[in-house]
Amino acid sequence: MIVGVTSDSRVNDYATILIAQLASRGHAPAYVLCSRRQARPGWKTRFTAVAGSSAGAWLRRARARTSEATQSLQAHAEANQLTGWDWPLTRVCHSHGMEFRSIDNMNGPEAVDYVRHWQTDLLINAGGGIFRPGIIKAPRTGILNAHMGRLPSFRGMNVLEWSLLHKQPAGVTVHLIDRGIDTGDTLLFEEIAVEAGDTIATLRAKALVTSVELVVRAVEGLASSQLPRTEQHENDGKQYFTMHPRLKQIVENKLRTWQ
Amino acid sequence: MTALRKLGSKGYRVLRSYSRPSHLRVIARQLCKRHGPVHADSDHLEATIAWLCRSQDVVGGSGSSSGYFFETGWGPPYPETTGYIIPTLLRYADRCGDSSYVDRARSMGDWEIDIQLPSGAVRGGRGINDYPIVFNTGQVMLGWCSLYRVTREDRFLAAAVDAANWLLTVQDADGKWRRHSFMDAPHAYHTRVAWALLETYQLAGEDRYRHAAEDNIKWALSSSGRHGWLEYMGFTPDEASLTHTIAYTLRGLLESARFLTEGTANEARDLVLAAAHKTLRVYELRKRLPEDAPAFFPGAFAQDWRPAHSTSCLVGNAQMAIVWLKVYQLTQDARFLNGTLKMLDQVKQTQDLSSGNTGIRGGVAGSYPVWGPYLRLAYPNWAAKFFADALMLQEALMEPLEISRALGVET
Repeated sequence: MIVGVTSDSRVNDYATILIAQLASRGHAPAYVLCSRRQARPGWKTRFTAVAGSSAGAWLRRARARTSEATQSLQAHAEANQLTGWDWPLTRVCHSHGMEFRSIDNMNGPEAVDYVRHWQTDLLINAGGGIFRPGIIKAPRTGILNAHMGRLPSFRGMNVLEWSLLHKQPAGVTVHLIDRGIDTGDTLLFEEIAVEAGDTIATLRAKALVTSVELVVRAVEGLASSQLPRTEQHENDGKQYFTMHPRLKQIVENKLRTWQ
Repeated sequence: MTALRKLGSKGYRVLRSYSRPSHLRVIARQLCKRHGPVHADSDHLEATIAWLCRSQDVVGGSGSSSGYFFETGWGPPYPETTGYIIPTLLRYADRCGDSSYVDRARSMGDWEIDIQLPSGAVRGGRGINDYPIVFNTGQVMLGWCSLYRVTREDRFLAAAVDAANWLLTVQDADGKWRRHSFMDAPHAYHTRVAWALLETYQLAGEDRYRHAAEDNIKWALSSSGRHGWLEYMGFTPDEASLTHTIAYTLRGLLESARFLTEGTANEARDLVLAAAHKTLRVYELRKRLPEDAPAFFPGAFAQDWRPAHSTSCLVGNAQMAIVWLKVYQLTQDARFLNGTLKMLDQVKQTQDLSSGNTGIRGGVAGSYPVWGPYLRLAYPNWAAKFFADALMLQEALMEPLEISRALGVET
């Protein structure tokens, strides 16, 4: 199965770990397709991505210290003995014999042609914005996405927070992307346990790690044609939007006494 | 000479608009898209109520000035909007336990009685005019009914009854009002007049008022389209409907539904729910990227909810926020609460709490940017009224959530 990965940045820890884990399971992607809108990261990100630089390494450590998500991904990588978890994608591709391609627009003809040229079976979304019909139809199976909420109930933005506000299980759904907002066929769902001391940030970090594991399982399942797809209907769920800070604070307070 | 005088007067007004430092400050900030800070609900509410009190004091302590206008300063008292500012002050009095606001509301109610037309109707326009207007009559009835509920002083109910009786005499057989209506046209936003009739029915027990109100609601609903769209929501049928009059319509339907027969009530509520879902979606999707904050709500819509203005009607935004909060109360769908928090934050950002100009400090402009087409370069009193109402309702709905979550108590 030919697999590609999308990204909206050359520095993308999630994509890096995903690729490393897929490779360790014998499903190394063929390429990374990176949208050029953010393909040239700002000076801070470029600086921290410089391999071997003591200042870069210091900043990476500083970043790891301050970001729950990065710490979780790092811990996951170490637990699974995945090297290069914080490499830029260009280096990751080089080390796995993958191609790295920068394009202007993930929905433009250049991207669509590239995906078709590879006779791609599956594209994995690790960043790239909203996908339009052209690119959605390009890979044979579709575009895989990890959504931080249970589908179809919680579609849209900040769905982890919305799930918690409604006292519903937090978790990750892996689904195929279609023209709607989080309305494509679902493949897998895994709940994330809320533990004492958890905050929105720690739960998002847990969700990110779960996303990696679930996407890998989905790829394996699709490769062996043993993964059933569940169709969603438009009226099955609601679309949520970015949550106002006051409601987020209510969620944080709720987490302090979560049962 | 008359033409010269007129030209001179216009020239002075234009000069006044653009030469005062306080006016220039507002214009310059908005030209540079610089927004003010968002403070707590209570801070903005206090400033808005202070502005409303000022609007009453500058015209002698009875009615409320129509607003502060860059061209001409404070305007004359406005019967229609003074009428529905009364419930706002009463609500604020209840919130803060300060009876001086009841006294202010009572002064407004008495002034309205003093200038009520012999027919029972309320005068149209700003200042003291001789012609009656149906919509204005309904709004003042809401004020009188609120005053009667709080004070139990019979004169307020009597005034509302006289007004209700007049409304029945000028209503068409199919339930609409066309005579003595703005632009001599029927308006769906007369659902707010129906609401006023129903409030009066509740207090006076006159079944005729309820029937007349239900006839009007049925007439309004008879033109319903997709996603809760109604014809005649605007000032004229051939132009886009301002969010101001759309929200009037929806609020009138929602409030009236409490008193109507089951079938009509359900139809009214269903329409409002459909419209609320549609408008919330339009608002939340006004952004370049999903994670961005929404742009300001469009100031008007054409048929089937097509945004028709690039500027925003701040009055309409505050009113739509109230509709969404009412829908949240009905459905417990927190997306409406979420949308309201964002919408009102945007209105807060346009409100200047520290201006040296008392017409601007604590006021809410008609449009954003302030030179937008709705009440250009002006701070109407009804913008302050609806913003205060929205803040009080938001505060009331958020308080139990914020307290209970902080204490870890499930509600």
